[in-house]
Amino acid sequence: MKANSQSTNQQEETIKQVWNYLLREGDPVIELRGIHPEGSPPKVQHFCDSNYSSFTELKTAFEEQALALNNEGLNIYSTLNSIKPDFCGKAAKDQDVQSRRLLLIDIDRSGDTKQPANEEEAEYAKTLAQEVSTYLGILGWPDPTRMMSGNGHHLYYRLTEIENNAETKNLIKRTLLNLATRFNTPEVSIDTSVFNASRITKIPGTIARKGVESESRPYRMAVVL
Amino acid sequence: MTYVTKKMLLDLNEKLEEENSSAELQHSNLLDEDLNILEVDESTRLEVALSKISSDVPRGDGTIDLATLDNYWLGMVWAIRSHNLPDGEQLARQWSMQSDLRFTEEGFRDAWNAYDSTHENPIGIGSVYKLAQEFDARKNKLSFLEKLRGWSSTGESEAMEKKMLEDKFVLDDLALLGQWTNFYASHGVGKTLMTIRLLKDAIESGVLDGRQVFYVNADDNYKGSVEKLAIAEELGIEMLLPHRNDFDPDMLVSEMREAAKKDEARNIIIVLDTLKKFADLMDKTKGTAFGKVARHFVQAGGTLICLAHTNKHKDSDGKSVYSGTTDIADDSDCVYIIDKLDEDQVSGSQTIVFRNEKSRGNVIDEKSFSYYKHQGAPYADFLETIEAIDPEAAELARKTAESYKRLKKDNRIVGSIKEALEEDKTLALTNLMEIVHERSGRTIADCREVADRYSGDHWDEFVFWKISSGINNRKALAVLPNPFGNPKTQKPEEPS
Repeated sequence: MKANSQSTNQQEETIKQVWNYLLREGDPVIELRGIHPEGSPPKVQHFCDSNYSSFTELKTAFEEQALALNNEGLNIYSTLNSIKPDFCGKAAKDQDVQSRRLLLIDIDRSGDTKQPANEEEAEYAKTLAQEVSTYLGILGWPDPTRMMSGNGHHLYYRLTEIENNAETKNLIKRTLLNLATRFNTPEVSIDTSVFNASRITKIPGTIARKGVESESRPYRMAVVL
Repeated sequence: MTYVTKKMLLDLNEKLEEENSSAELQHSNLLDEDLNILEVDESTRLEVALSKISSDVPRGDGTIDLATLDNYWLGMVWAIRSHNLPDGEQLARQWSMQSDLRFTEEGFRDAWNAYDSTHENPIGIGSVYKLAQEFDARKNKLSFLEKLRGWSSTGESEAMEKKMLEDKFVLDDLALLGQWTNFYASHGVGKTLMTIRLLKDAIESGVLDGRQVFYVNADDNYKGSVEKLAIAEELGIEMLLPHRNDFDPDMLVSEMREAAKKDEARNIIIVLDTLKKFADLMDKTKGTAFGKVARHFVQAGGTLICLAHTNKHKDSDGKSVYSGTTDIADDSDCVYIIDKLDEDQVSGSQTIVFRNEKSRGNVIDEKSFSYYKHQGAPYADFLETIEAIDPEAAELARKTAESYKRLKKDNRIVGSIKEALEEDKTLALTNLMEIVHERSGRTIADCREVADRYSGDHWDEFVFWKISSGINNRKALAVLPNPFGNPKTQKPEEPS
């Protein structure tokens, strides 16, 4: 799905998916990060539940701001894990994360990823995502939330609120490394760097802008499948 | 959506680690003959096996004895030959060459050709894999002390010395046959000039046959190309010019790769002038890719000499540094940086030094040359002016160059001192320094340092005056007469 074919309505609808797996009611602080693809300073905004009269109001504010920044050309992210209620700072760091809520398996093409993926590359990522989730399913893991991230595929597995500490960090890191060793191919690989607690991840409904768009390498909207 | 627990993560890791280590084991067991399930390229499989077997063993009788693990070289060569792989000979040669103390091309060829496929009990490739397995197994059983003993080179000095003496220079002292050598210099220092002259010397002294040398002159203008072509013709060097006679520089690297594969690189010397026309020096991946081709080319018996540029900016010691990523230099056998030591613009004399940055062989650490360069003179004339200069002369040139450089920096103070003394020869040193300080804008300490630096008893190119003590220890400075000219006519910004 090409960026230029996305209507605002589609984006407005799709972004609501974020509340089903990534962000949720009761999160004391929700971080929105807009990162310029060309490296200008990111725009970070925090949505604290105490500042809104209702969760609906917070949700609306978050979605509107996310899409507004995305329309300005920024790529839009939020943290994978919940942030501590007493957080105060510019952008959440590992120590600001309350607990581990999600395991992200980020699958992208191997090699140079500076430009948008072409269809074939995106398809490779999708296939590997399917392989990984099937493998884990056989081991009794639940179905993940799957997202086409714009250029690759994400699998989100909900964790039982594991404590945010060095042991967990190492466990997640080890998991990603082992999965990468088991599943990586020359064409597509599992990102082993997404193990840290304050890792951010793309918001569905936003357009992933990476490098220069072309007919064969279009910008795409991230969407939960 | 249900949840993933910590235990599930731990179990997953345990399972994956087991699977991954089993896959790794299978990979290393490429050596097992029946592991076709991995569908590994047969050459790769053989290469992996060969990497586990030392070629530094006696020739043997053509068998492989798994009990002694010795005297199996000929058996290995024949076993590889029996397998009829397209690149089998190349793999066998590369493996054999790892024992540089034992390898000779002639010996290898004789062994390869002596294989008898009709032998009643022929050796097969399975023996190679079994031998590799056996080495693997024994390696795992060795104690640390045994491993250390195995790695030790003690006892090999004689053979290594012999090999060292066998090193044959393509360019005297600087580039060895069968190696990949890079010369880096900034524009105009004379890397092309020096390379052609050194090739000329090697050809004229009978060390090289010009027909072996393929000089790719890819970074020259038309006039320069014609001049160098005429020199190449005289020497019998084959000079390749881009887009003449269907020569496409873009194809050369892939042709080199093919030549190495087909064992057609032997005794071919290629000079790439300049390297940037053939390899992207700024791109790590592309640089490494070129490095692989170059490595295969020299492993297959070719010789590669690449000329490349240095950075515009020098290092903190004022020495040139090569341009681009370090991959090309890292992958090559030998690297020299060529720097200009001294340049006399009046006489056109240039002094340059080749400084070794990396070597695999008995090349020289540093070698200096001088040559004369006059604008408009034929290129062939420059070649004839090149002379190797001894280290003392090079050191003198270096110091002279440094002194000129310093004098250039000191010129404002030197000029002010001369000017003030022309106005009043009787000035005391302290008064003189104050005047010079005011005129030059430099500190009195700087002015005094410069006064001392260029003082002495007799005039020379860096001694302009004498400091003497008079009544009451009053110091004064007197300009020394220049025996070669009238100091009044000299410009203050130039050394007298």
